[in-house]
Amino acid sequence: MALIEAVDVRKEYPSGDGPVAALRGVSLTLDTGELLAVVGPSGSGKSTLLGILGGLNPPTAGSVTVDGIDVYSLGQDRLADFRNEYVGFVFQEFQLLPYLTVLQNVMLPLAVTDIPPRRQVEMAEKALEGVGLVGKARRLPGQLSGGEQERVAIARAIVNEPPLILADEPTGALDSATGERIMELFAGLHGRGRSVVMVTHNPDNLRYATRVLTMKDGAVQ
Amino acid sequence: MALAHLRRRPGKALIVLAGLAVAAAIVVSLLDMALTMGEELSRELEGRGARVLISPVKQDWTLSYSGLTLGSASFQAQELPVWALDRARETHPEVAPKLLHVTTGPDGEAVLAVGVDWSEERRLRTHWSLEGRYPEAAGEVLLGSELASQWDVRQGATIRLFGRAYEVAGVLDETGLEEDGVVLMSLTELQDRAGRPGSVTFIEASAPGPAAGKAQGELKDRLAAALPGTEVTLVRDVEEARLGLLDRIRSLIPLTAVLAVAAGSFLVAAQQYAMARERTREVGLLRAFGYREGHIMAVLLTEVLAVACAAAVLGWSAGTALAGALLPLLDPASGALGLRLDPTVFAAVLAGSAAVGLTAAYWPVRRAARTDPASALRML
Repeated sequence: MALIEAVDVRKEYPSGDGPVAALRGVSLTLDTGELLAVVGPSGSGKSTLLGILGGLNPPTAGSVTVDGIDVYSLGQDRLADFRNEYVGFVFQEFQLLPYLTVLQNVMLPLAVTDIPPRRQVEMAEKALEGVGLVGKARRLPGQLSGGEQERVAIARAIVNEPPLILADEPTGALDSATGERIMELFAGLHGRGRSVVMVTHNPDNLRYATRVLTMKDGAVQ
Repeated sequence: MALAHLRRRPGKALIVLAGLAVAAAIVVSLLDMALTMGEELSRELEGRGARVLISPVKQDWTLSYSGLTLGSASFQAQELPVWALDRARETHPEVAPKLLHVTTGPDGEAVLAVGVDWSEERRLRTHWSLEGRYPEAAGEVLLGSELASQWDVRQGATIRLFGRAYEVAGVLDETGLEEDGVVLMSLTELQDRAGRPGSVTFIEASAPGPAAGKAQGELKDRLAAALPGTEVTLVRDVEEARLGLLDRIRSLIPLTAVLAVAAGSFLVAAQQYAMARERTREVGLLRAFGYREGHIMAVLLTEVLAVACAAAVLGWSAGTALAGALLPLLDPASGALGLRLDPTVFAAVLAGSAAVGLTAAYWPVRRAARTDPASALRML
């Protein structure tokens, strides 16, 4: 069953020399439980595609449907609700808020839900337990290693149990051994029925993918 | 989240906190001084009621007492006609005759002795408070606080005036007025010791009570008609001088409040515009996690509100302390009332500071909340 259907997605950015095409008619389908790796050289449109699939970056043309929802037909507030409910993001360089503890960082997506605060803490602790960091919940991100920070970012992405995880270069800032452990976490998520779209430059990560999408110059190869 | 950010990264928020607190402190100190002075003056005017002064027509005054400026060498020659006191009593029963006489103090300095009819004086000066008691015998005196301090004497001490000993029955609490620097004694005793039997320098007439202000004009007119050849004046110069100071302080409040609001708004807006630039990624991140614009505005405005409230508490505390320190210098009588802890002023400063903070921060925060998450997170 298809979770994502992107049809003829185009994205252009204005520039002094006229519009620059970042995506040139990309279409893809992602089934529930798939782990899709998106590869390609820098500037090929991988991150742009990820942002469009996650409801962060409206396409210039084309449509994106997630779980039957036409994402970009939603108003701003509904689109925000969609991101909260359907998508877990893992960004490059972790993107943790340095002034919040590990637990508070993981709880961020829950803070705008109706879930009672005590339950939010339980959910965050469970997510941290899932990435093996339950003992470091009260620490600040700066007190953790790179691998640990990445695991916090993953815990934050899965804390509200979204069906879709979008990861942008999740192992880009890690050494190979740590990166391997992070990829095992993603494989575990996919094994538990979550759909994952992962942008990566690292060929070692491809063996965890159920499918590989290669992009070049804004188009699927 | 908002409080965690302030706690761990106070940064520019401290500058805003300090700026708002200083502005609030200045407004609070002026407000406190105006309110305290106003309260003290109302109390005093109410206590004194309408006061009309009956004095000889021509005077050459350089010292002063009870609103009358007097005390030159020629002053002791000035007296009311002998019939004046009886005529004044026939016209208005509550009159307090006084004899002013410059004599020599224990250290050889000139000191103003005031002879009073104690029963009339106590009816007139209901606002007085003192340490000790009022004199009951001819050999007892009441000292002004400043004079007692200058002579280093307290209740029960003995002082020498007119070559004889007098017991200090009491010491007046500081009034901030001329009473602080005089010796008060029985009228007949002073008349005898000064060799001026039956002499009265001036008479005060009073009509205490809430209608005192309205009654002043009528009382003055009646006494002036009954006492031709004397000068009958309303005694308001002391109060007017203090009311003038009060008016000046009051007139500063709106201007200061406007400046405080303008400076506070500028600080908050500048800090929030800087924040909008510095925290772009953070806002983009929150938007990616599903925060609506309203959620982000709530987070950022909560930070502003926390700073504004903290500034109000600091400003109110500092302003109250400042008023407590300045008022005794500007107006000793009001200063003697001590620190004013007014919950209404506190509530007004809290509400004002919060309103300034939230209003000034609204547009920059709204702009920050509309940050495009894709560009903020470099996902283009």
